[in-house]
Amino acid sequence: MLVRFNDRRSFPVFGAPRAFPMSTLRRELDRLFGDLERAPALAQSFTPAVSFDDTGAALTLRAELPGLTEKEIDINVTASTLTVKAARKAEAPEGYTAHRRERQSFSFAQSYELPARVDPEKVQASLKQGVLTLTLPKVAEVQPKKVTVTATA
Amino acid sequence: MDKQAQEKTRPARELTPNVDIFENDSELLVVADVPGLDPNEIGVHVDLPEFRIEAKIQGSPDRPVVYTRTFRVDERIDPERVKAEYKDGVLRVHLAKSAAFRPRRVEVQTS
Repeated sequence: MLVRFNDRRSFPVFGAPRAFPMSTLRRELDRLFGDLERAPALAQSFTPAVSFDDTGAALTLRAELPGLTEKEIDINVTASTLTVKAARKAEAPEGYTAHRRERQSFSFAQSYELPARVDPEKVQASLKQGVLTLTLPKVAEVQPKKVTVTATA
Repeated sequence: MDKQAQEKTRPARELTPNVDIFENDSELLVVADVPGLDPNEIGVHVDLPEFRIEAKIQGSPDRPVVYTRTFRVDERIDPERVKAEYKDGVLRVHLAKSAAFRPRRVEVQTS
């Protein structure tokens, strides 16, 4: 019989007794979760908390980016799109041993299709204690207008 | 019913900040991600054997957000010599070890 070398299920193992199905299942599950824990993709999927609001006259974005300085944040705006890029490298201080590492490195890049046209020239961004606040004023044509009702006799 | 199962009402939304804990010969260093706080609103409490970080911010208008994290530390920490700094939304707490628990190099005498 000819078997594919990488097909572990049918590759004959000489001498070894056939494993019980349950122990095989358990081993496969351990392997699966072991792979997940080691997967770098899992660590990179961390995304900062972002909230987007429409205040009427402007769109506002608030993102929590602790540990970042203004130089590490890149923002690009057009009349209808917004792209925010930020990256953080979790580093250990020199000469210390780590007991717990929960603060992750992240590389965050997010593009948004804006629900209203904005004026890219008037966009303001500020970073205060790790919180990025963006204010994107809408173009005059889409600003809400109050209509006064006039009573006619 | 046991105590654990009792439901608790919370006046605020409680968040658990992510922390890194480092140690060297002279201190423990706790680094926590707590963005958007007023430095005056951050409380760092050392009440051996407990060490607690607590901070409150006005999240949504109707419900404040509270960051809390508690750790157990032992008598190797000198509660009088705890320093904390807050920059770019990151809190760093330095917990100095008591002098008696710091490693000291002993010279071997030759006679």
